[in-house]
Amino acid sequence: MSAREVCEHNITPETPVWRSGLSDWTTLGQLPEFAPEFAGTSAPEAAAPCSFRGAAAPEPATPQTLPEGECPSSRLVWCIVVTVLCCMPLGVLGIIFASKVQPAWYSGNVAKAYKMQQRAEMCIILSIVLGLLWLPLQTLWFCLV
Amino acid sequence: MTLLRPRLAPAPLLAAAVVIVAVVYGCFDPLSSWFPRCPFLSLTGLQCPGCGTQRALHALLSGHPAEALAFNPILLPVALYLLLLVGASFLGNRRLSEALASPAACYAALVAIVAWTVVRNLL
Repeated sequence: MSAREVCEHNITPETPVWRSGLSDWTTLGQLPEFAPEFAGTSAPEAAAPCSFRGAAAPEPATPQTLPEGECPSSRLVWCIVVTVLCCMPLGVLGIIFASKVQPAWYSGNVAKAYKMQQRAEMCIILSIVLGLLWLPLQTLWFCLV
Repeated sequence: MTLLRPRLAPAPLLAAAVVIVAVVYGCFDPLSSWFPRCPFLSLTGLQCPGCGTQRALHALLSGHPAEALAFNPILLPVALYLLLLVGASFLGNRRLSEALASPAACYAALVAIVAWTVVRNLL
């Protein structure tokens, strides 16, 4: 969700939110990935006039503080397991996505870190599904050929 | 939001799966017709980095570790990596866990897998 959309839904730094990785609900203003959006707006005044720092504010390249919490797992293990269990192309793609999780996290880009983790996970899940689909296909193949 | 939970399966389920796999691969030779064949090998005629894993598992469970290694040597570093990772998470060593999932580790795995695929198909 972009800052503009956040405005349109009347979401303020005080809005209670939760996402995976958090132990409990918090307010939007407390989330590190939204910190740049709310920079310069004091909590009550942000509610009425959408005074975000521009709708498409670029992520800061080097924030002073690292994101709170633990860096999301890059899922490298599952990528390797899937690759060794014969779904090579997707496993290799998963490893490429996995390599981007930690750099994104440590440059303060939490959203990108989770996005890359999710892409690696998509590769893993797709590999497993394709592998399972292959079993009946293979039987058919060897019956026909 | 993550798609996979950190604990993918409860421990008893995981243990049951390991036992089933061990019994199946210990009792039957994967060269018999009903075992899954590598889709990559069937479709392209080239060996994938995982080819030989089933035969290696069977050889290992039949007590022939040298034979197992010959079927797919890349399983040795993979097994070592998995052991290290399990050890790190068991001891709660976050630094080692993160180092094992770092970009450097990813690139090393990528290079090793691609190189092994090329080498095994040229030899």
